[in-house]
Formats: sequence, C-alpha cells, structure tokens
Amino acid sequence: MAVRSKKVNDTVFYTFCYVILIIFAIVFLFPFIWMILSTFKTQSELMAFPPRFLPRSFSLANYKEIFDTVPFGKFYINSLIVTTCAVFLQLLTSSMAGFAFAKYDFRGKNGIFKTLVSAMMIPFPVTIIPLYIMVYSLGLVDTYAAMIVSGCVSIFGTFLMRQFIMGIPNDLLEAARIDGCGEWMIYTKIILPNIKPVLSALGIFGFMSSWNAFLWPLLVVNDNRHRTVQLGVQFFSQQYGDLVHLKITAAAMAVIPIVIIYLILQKQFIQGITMTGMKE
Amino acid sequence: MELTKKSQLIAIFGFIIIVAGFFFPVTMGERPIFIWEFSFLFNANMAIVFGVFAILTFVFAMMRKTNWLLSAAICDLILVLSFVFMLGTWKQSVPSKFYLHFFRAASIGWYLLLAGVVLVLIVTLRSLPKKKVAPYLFILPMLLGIGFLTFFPAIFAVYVSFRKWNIMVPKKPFVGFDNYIKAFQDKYFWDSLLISFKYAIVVIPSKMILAYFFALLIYAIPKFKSFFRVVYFLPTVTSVIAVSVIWSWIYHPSFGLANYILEMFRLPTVDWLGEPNIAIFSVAIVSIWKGIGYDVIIFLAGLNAISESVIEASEIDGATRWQKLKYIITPLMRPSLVLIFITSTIGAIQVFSEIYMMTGGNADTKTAVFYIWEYGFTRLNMGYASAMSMIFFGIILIITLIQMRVTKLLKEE
Repeated sequence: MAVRSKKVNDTVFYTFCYVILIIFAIVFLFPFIWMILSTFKTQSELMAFPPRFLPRSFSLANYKEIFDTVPFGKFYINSLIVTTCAVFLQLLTSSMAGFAFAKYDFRGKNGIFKTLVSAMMIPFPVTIIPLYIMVYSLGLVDTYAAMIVSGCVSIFGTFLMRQFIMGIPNDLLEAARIDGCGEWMIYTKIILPNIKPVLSALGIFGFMSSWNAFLWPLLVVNDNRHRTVQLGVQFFSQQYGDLVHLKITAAAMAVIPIVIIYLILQKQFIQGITMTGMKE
Repeated sequence: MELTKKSQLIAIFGFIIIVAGFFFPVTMGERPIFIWEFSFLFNANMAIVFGVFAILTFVFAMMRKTNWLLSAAICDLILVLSFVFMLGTWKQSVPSKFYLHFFRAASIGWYLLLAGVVLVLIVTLRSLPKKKVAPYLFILPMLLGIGFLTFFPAIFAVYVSFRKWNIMVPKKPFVGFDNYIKAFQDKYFWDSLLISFKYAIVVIPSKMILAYFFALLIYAIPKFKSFFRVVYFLPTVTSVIAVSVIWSWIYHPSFGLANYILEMFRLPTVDWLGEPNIAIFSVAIVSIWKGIGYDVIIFLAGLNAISESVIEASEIDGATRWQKLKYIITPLMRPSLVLIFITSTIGAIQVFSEIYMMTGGNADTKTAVFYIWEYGFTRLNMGYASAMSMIFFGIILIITLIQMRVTKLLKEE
C-alpha cells in the first residue's frame, strides 16, 4: 500500500514538474516563433489588431527587401571575419599563457597572476572611454582590427586554460623533453592535443560573445564596409524605424545563424558553458 | 651565463646594423628625417639616448654577459618602438591616417635599427636556458593584449578624469577635481545610479530564484532533461540587439502581443516601454528572460555534481522532497549560488545594450552606464564621463567586496 501511494505521489509530482516546465518552455520559445512568423508578414498585416498568429502567405519578400536596401551579405562576412580572428587569437593567447602559468616557475609569476585577477575587476565602462581615445588616435576607427582587438585576449580564458593544463601530468612533458622536444614543440604536440575539450568550450564562449558583441563595435564602426550583423540590425532600426516588418526580419537574420549552430552543436554549447562556469 | 663565441659575433654584427641605421633617414616623405631630429622623453635627443644604449649593447656583448645584454636589447627594442609614437616629428613628412600606413612611412633607417635590435635580442634569448625564457614568451602576447585593453586604459582613465577632455578639441586643460565635484553634485548622475540599482534589485533575485527553481525541476524529472535544457538556454545564445527588437514589438502599445493578451483578459492596456514607472521593469523582464538559461545550466551542473550516495542515504532515512532540498541539496549548492550571485550583480549594474535598443534612455530608464556613455560619446565630455566611470567603478568594487565578505561569512557558518 505504501509503495503504491509513493508511486501515485511520484506521478503527481512529475506531472506538476512537466506542466510547469512546458509552460515556461513556451514562454522561452514563443518570442522566437513570433519573430520568425512576423518575418513573413507584410507591414499592414503586422499593424492589424488583434494580431494574427499565422501570416497570410509565407513569402520571402521581406528578406529580399533587406538585401536590396542594405548590404546584409557583407555584414555577415564582416561578422564572420571578426569572430573567427578574435576567437582564434583568444584561444592562442589564452592557451599559451595558461600553459606558462600551469607548468613553469618563473620570477614574477605570482605577481603577474595577482595583477591579472585584479584586472578582472575593472568593468568595461571604465576602460571604454580611454580605449576609444586610443583607438581613435591610432587611426583604427572603421577597421576590422579595432573590433578584433577587443576580443583577442581573455583573462578568464587564461585562468580556465591554466586550470585545465595543471591536470596534465608533468611526466608527459619531461618525457618529451628527454626525447629532445623544444618548449614550443611541447606546447603544440602535447599541450594542445590534450586540451581539446577546453579549447572548444572557450571557443564556443568566445564565438557567442564575439558574434553578439554590440557596444564596442557600435563605437568604432560607422561605415557599411565594416558593419557587423548586430550593427546592421541596429542601423536598420534607427534608419528605417517605421518599417517594422523589415526591422523584425533583420533581427531574425541576426539570430538565425547562431540558433542553427546552437541546435547542431547543442551538446558542445552546454558542455562549454558548464565548463566555463565551474571556474571555482 | 656566458655568450658563446658565435653568438657574440652575431650580437656584434647586430650592433653594426644598429649603428648603420643612424646614418640613414628614419622616414623619407617630402624630406628625409634622421634619428637626431627625434626627441625622446624630456626633449632628450634620440640619437644620444639610442647611442648610449647601443654602446651598452656592444660593451655587454664584448663582456659576454648574457643577462645584461638581454636588458640592453630590451631597452633598445623599446626605443625602436617608441619612434612610432613620436607623431610630432613624423607629421612633418607624413600625412594623416599615419598608423595605418606606418610601415610604408618608415624608411630604411628605422628598419635597420629594428633589424639590428631584433637580431641581438634573438641571439641573446637563444643562448639563455630555454626553460627560463619560454614562460615569458608564452605569456607575452596575452600580457600585451591585456595591457592594451585593460591596464593602460585604466590608468589613462584616471588621467582623463582630471582634465576637460573633448576628442575633437586639441586642448585638454587640467581641471583638478572639478569633474569629480561636478559628478557628486550632479543630481541626474545619482538618479541614473538609482535606476541601475532598481533594475539590479529586480533582475538578480528573480532571475536566480526562477533559475534555481527550473534547474531543480529539470534535475528531478526522469525524461526530456536535455530538451528543456536546450530550450531554456536558447535566449542566452541570441544577441541582445535582436532580442530587443522583437520584444519592443511585443511591447508595442497598439499592435503588441503583450497588450493583446491583457485585452483578452479585459485588463487595461499598458504603454510598456513609454510609462516611466513601468519601462525599467519591462526591460528587466526581457533581461530575466534572456539571462536565465545561463544560470539554469550552471545550477544543473552543480546539481549533477552532487553525489548520488548522499541523496540515496537521505532517501533511506525517509527524507521528504522538501527536506532533501532544504537540508541537503541547497547547502551543497551554495558555491554555485554564490558564483552566480556575484557575477550577475556585476553584470546587472552595468546594463546598457537593452536600454539603448528598447527605450533609448527615455521613460526613466537612463542607467548609470547609459548616462556615462551619453556624456562621453554624445556630448563628447570625456573627462567628466571618465570621472563618473571612476565613481561607478568604486561603487561596484564596494558592492563586490561586501558580497564576498557576506558570502564568506555564510560559508563559515
């Protein structure tokens, strides 16, 4: 009898869990569904009240109009260039520095490490004005370099790498040294292959923040030749604010690629976030 | 440490190249400019400064003192690179967009100096034990980047904050503490800080409690765990900008979905982003919706790390679900909760992009970072904006330190 009542109790409990989770799953998904459906609607359809759920026809006219008004394809390419370079450089610099902190003893190591920890406390609003002045006087406004530089190093990434590389046994490195490996060879032949999971975790993290970066690119880029996708959306809502259908379509176009990548690589995304969150 | 004979010869050869660089123009332009026309700090003649260090390099190479030679070579390198920043002298022969065309602007003299110095540096580094040099070379790129992105700007921000600084006006007079005094007396600045706090106080607890609740539910259910995880995390993957566009549309006063739902229940409609009492909370809802997935994932990772045996032991003792949650799971989850608490506080106080896209700072939503941004980049009063950012930094620092203290106390309890 007791067993049965426990079973009933369980069923009630699980049903409760699922109901709540499903309701909120709809809350989380609905704005995206609404956005995608809105991209197929004309302006007059959007301006109807009460709003209609489904569009009258699934025409791609809005997408076409966007490509006709602004060089959105170019924005995609720009985002891709900036993101790829920033992520690559960040992985390189973080893994190299993490390796040095994890496996070498050198003078000043602790001092440098502590300085880095305190640098992490400095918030972006403090550095953004002087950084802009620097970039401006270096003549780097409206260049890819200005956008890439802000994402090419990461203190957090360095700590993450250090944590992970500390787990690689020292014997492995010593054996390689005896075999005549130089320090750079040890980095490329032993360290890098052994930290693939954390490289992909940091890579995904960097990709997300770089693709979605807004504040800094907004400052340093003013021309269509270097605008990223996010800036394209912002530019659109500023210039053509009344054309709601195009505004929403542009937003959808910024979201769709990363959502597709996310759905394909969901396991890696979630693992990556978990790994980056477990820093303490 | 001593240099080998061969390395010594190469180092001396490098020295000869440096000396040769003295006799060629650093830049050609309209007229050739030579090294003695540049001046280093305190108007010291560059030729003399560089000459002294070059001779030191030569002497140390002759003495075969590797460590000394290394320091001299590093000084030489700094000198060579410092040419890049002596804009005043270059300007006579090179027009604007200087840094983009630097390598074309520089002429054979500068390249010779660079080549000589690099040669000496490489030879010296090679003759040092590799295990000693390698770590410095490995951290160098990261340190350069952080130096450029954080250290230098942080110091520079202090410098700017004591000046009247407009990027378009060449004169930047020193004004002492005027900017700070102005900030302390600026009612709008304190209002903006209050708005930031109001926003943070709404967002942080509701986001954390909801996320913890969802994480517990997902942890409890037997099936479809990963499905819910993927769905709840979806908004976090997307950009603030796109999300702001779609939510602005949902919040639209006449055609928006939010008001339609209110009307379905026969409630009065609301101007979500236009009403000063409501707008900041409307933005907060979007931030909670967007940020919750990250917290859920972190909490789930924490929950999954709790060992099964602890839970099973409590089940054998007959603990109810509520008891398990209160006495076993939550205490074990404290590290994750603390981590999320501190990071989301820092993040929430600095809210900017959502505000920028959704209300443009209207309707009582001008947060501190937005206000600083406006002064720095719209009104171009960067000195004042920097002073405000320093005060803002101080406040964040105090809050973080208090949080760390408090959470540490909780831990020791």
